[in-house]
Amino acid sequence: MQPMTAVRMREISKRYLPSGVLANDGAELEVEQGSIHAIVGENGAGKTTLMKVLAGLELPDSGDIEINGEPTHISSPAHARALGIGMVHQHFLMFDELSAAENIFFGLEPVQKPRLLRLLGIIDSSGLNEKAKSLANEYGFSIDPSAPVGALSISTRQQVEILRQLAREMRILILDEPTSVLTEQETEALFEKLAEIRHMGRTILLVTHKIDEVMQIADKVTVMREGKTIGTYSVASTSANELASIIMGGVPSEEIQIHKEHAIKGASVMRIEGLCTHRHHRGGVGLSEIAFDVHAGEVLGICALSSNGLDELEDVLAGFLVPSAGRCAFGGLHFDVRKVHEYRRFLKEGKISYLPSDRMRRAAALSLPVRDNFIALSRRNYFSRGWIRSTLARRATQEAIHAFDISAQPEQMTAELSGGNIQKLAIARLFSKEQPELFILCEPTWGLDIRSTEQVHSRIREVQNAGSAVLLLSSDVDEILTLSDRVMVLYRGKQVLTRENSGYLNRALIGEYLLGTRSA
Amino acid sequence: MSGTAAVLADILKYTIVAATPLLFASIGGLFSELAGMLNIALEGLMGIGAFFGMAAAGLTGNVFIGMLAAIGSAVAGSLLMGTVTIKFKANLFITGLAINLLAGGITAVLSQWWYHTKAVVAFTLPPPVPAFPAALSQIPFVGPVLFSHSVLTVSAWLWAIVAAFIIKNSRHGIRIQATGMNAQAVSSLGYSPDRARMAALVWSGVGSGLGGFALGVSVSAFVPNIVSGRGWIALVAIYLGRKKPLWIAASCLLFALSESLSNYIQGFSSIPPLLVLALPYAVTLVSLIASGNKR
Amino acid sequence: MPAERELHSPARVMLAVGVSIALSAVVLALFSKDLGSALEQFFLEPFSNRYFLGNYLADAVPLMIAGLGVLIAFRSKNFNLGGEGQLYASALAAGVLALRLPAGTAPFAVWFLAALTGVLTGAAIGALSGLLKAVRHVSEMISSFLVSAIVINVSDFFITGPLQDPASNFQTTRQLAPKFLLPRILAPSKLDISIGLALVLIVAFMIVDKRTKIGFELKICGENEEFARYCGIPVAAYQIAAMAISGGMYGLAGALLVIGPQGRVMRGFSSGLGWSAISVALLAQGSGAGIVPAALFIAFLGTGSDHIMIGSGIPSEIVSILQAVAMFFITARSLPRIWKKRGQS
Repeated sequence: MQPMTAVRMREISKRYLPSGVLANDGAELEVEQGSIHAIVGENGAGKTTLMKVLAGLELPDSGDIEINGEPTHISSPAHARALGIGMVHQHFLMFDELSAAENIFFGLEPVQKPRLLRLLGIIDSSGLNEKAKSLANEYGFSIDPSAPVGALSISTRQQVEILRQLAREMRILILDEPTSVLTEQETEALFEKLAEIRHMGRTILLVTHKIDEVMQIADKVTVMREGKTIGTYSVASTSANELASIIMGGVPSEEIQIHKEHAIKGASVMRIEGLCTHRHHRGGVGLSEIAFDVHAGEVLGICALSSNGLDELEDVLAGFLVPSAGRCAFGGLHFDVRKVHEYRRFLKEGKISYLPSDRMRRAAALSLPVRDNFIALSRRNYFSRGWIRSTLARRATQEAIHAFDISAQPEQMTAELSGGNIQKLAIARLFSKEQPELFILCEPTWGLDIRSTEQVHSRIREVQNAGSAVLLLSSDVDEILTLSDRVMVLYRGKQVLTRENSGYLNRALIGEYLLGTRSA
Repeated sequence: MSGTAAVLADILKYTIVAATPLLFASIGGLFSELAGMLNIALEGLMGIGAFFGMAAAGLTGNVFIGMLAAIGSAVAGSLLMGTVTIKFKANLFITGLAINLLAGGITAVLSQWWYHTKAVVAFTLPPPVPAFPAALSQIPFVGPVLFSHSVLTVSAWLWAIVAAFIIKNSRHGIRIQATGMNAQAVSSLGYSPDRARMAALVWSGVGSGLGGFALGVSVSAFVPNIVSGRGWIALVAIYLGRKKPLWIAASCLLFALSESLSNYIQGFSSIPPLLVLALPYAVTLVSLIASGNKR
Repeated sequence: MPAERELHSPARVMLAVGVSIALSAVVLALFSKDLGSALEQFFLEPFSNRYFLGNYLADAVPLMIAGLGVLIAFRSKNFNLGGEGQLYASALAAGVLALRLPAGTAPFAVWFLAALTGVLTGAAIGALSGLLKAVRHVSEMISSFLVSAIVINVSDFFITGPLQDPASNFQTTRQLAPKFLLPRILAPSKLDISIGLALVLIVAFMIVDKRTKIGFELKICGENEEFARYCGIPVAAYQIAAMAISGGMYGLAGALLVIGPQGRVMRGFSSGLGWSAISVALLAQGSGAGIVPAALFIAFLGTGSDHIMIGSGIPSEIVSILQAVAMFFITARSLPRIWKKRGQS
């Protein structure tokens, strides 16, 4: 008998406004009932957007959807739930001080039998805990139903979240990068549970960018790139390496033009040793034993896919996160990185220039004019004895706007600018400052068009040639390969690769490290 | 009974009396706090409850009707606040401030209109109904301290117990708690955080109304500025009690003890009464500082 | 989800002003025997002669100064709810100082020292709440209110006790020597030269806000704290400073009342000024220049309410109701749905 098709999505397109990013461009998806179906692709390939469309969180601009053979138009999360589609988000939506059972059966709690108590909605607590226990047993989960979830481990919290969807009779479960916050052992355990859920006839959609996991658990896998569906493959008849090259675009390494002159390596500017962070800052994995140094005139590219430790590394290097251990040497000083004050001084004195990856939150005051945003970082230059040098500030802003091709006026409110222009403004601000000893650039070209990207890349080469050290944190492999003298890869918060960017390294090879199919 | 014991019994008895309005209001405020809203309007809502409660009780001679009027008027105030904050998307603190201003204005204007004075309006109420048989209050020391109280005072404790039970054990209470912990999760599961917030404000209206009414009953009058900061003290009790009803009640007793002591000292010592009046605020401030922490 | 109609700041201010004026007119209509003359009294009397105009402007002066202080605290996202106590205690400190100064002191020195005392007293009280917020994460709203409550009781004690004027039947300090009072303008009204200082301060704030590094950094702290930290701005220091300045302005307003229209410190000196200043700052919508019309409007409501009282027996506390209604309208960011539907149909 032919298996039923649980989900069929045709020609799904979705453009985000006002940024104009085309996240889905005629994407296709077909999922068999009772299977585990993986959806893979690089960052920004459109996986999450497609899943949000399915869960009713985003309305597509065009396209058709069939659920269990019925054509439908999913208009809201409530509608998706009514169709039996539930999504387990990357960042759990939990009530920390409520018990596991209360979280699972929120809104569906059994009430006391006596009429008055029932009318008042008084919960039958022992019945609730019993219900949670038997649901957990049914799927082979082991949880303490009365424990407050805030005290539970991340993996148990995830189980609670999955049970919550199962308790709501969801037939189609979407899991968005469920293993990104789990250790390997926890991942193993989760996969056993997922197999059990599949066994009970439910369908699982697994968004991930870890190929080993796909090979281990999925029945089929759909590869997405640039908002399009590249193809759907049966896991049994494909190999991990094959899949990796399809994901990375199947470009053989020889064809990649690495147009970079090898800079002469100068003295060491910053050295980090034994850097660790606690797990779960910003819901991430935490860093363990990171060590690197970066030299004058050198670009060290640090690459990772999302939730593999790049955010934590950025926050440590920005002085926003106090690490749990590690030592740092900078400008002839050696110090414990936990003394963030020492480190922040270098940022303050302009010896280190840092470009945040989250421009809207960390790099702009949206309700202030462009000029104010531009001068905010180098106030020493634009204020003399406490008074603003407005002519100078205006002229410098104007020049930067011109040099970096930003569509803006100095007096314009920053909130009126497009995302790309706010980004260019943040970059212009950094490169207009006096040159520091070290640049820390996080996702410098994320969301920029090709021309602006090239412009930024040539700026980076300029400062490199002028003798600055550059730490480039990026999830874009091409950017890392184009600019870096050395490349470092993080996977699950660990340093899995650190090497010279010579002919040996190519896109496919880095991809294997990024996706976890090859390790140090 | 020796003189010292009698004084001590007196102080403790008045502590329980003084805790009544605080307990009503802070347990009411706990609901909005749990729903994620710092309700700075408790002060004003108590004032509204005190005025309308006393007015209705004075008019009908029926304390129960007065109580209903106190609840009704304070709930109306909290609904106004909730509507402006939730429906019109206004800033919670500014609407809270506005409610406090409104309460002062309305009570003064209506007092002038109905009773032709902005000063103290005294009411003759039926004597308070004792909650315990007279025999119990005859027990030395314990009797006057614990068993000499009115039904209203005892009902503050019942209110706290019932509220604690509802918060912990009902769907409604869980909904309110969940809204404060993670409103996005509540809406992702298909429930309305705004409805829970509105309900929580209604609860704090009920509590503040009762608290204000208890204040009025304790002096059998409506006095301008009768609340005089107790709404804020109730707010601090929520913090100090770490949002746990039992500890909130203990905090209320602590603040009430300082009020009771300050009353006693005023009568029997050479310390100037106006300085002593600051004692409850000082105790509250110190405990607020102690309960704050580095997040 | 349908986007609700957003109300922009000018629309909100117009609504707030319009509704509170309309409400006052309704109250007048309900309670006065002769509506025509009552309306005329309410709306025109403050401008009818030198005396009324001067008194009206004198009422606006402390509102301008204290309102400016509240506005500065708003800039860094701080709510100072301790204005009543800050103003009262500072006025008392300034008054005591002025009473203790030798009779031969130059008036100018008295004014300067009294104003300075007021500023420092208020600033110290305000800074305490800022410090508690920065160090212990204590809500500055609650702590500033409680500190204010304590300070009010202590001030009451001094005025009715050690500092009580033995010759007076009122609970008040002694009267300052007439030559120590600020020179009046528009005599015989209460208006004095402090209105000049208020305007100078507002202009100074606008300059600091627009032209200096301090103003710039304060603005960034208020707009986006994370961005401020990225820029290396000491956010906690600005929080404390903003609360101190806010308290200091309340203190200055109090001191100027003592060496100006009041001439002494009576019990209950602040009488709601602390709260009205918040209304002024809200109405000004973050603009320094907006403080002047906002203070004039709130003072107008106050003067108007006094007239309502005289004409109808409705107490002047009606002004609190008017201010509360104005606040509701200033802070509402969108119109209710019913309103919107009606607009569409």
